[in-house]
Amino acid sequence: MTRSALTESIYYIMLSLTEPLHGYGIMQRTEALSAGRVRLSAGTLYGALANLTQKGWIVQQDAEENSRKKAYELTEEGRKILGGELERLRELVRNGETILEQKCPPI
Amino acid sequence: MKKKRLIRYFTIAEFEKEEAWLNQMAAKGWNLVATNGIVFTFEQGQPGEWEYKLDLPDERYSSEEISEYYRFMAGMGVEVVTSYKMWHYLRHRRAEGPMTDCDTLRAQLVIVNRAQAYAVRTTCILVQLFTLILLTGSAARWVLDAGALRDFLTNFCASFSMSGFVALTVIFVPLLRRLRRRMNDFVERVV
Repeated sequence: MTRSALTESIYYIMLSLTEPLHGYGIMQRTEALSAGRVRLSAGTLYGALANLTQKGWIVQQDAEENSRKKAYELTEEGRKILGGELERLRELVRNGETILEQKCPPI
Repeated sequence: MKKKRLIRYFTIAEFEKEEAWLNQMAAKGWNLVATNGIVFTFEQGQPGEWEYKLDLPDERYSSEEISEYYRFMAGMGVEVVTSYKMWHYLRHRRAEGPMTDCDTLRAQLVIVNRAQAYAVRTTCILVQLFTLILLTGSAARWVLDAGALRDFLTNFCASFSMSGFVALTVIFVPLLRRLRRRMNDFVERVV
């Protein structure tokens, strides 16, 4: 199965869900992981989470007794997808290093 | 609390303009509290306290997902001030940081795509409705006996559906074109 690359936002959202988190926690963690680069508005984040839930890459946990908020967590499937993405990123880095760090051929 | 009502109209393709206007008002201390798409009601407060953002959740969301959307926003410290059709007017205290996306292109693409889907669906429903009215008028001519009722029905249906089609051509066609052009723009920038 060929699958297109994950966007940076999706990659960091999924990476932050290796432990259950609520929406606000996800926003903070993606921002921290990317040193402030990846910032998502609430509307975009909700859309992304709904999308990932539909794909089965993350699940919503049942709300705790006195909390109305639901936490999200990565599924096994999601973990596999992330692993595949990591492999793809490694390939990008490998190829970039091989080509760019070669000595320039003499003219 | 002091209130102010203003009349404005923004098409579905002008949501960024609408958002910018709401933020200009908020910067002057006029905070949106309600709208029906034409009349905008503002309440006076601290200038620059709130940042407004328009959101268009996916129209395919179930009512369950929409209520989840409200809970989610509350958990994020975002207030859903009011909604008009599928547009949701969100606000957030500026002191708590900006409500922006780092990837604005993608965020805009998602909203413009949903706006386009919404406009296309509305157009299809209206075309079907006016066609149905047009057909009802023709059917009346064949089914009913000559008389005031038949004349009224045929005339009414013909003029109603005709004005409907004119309105579609004048309003919806340019709107769909604009949304379509914006989608093309996005695709060119992404690929």
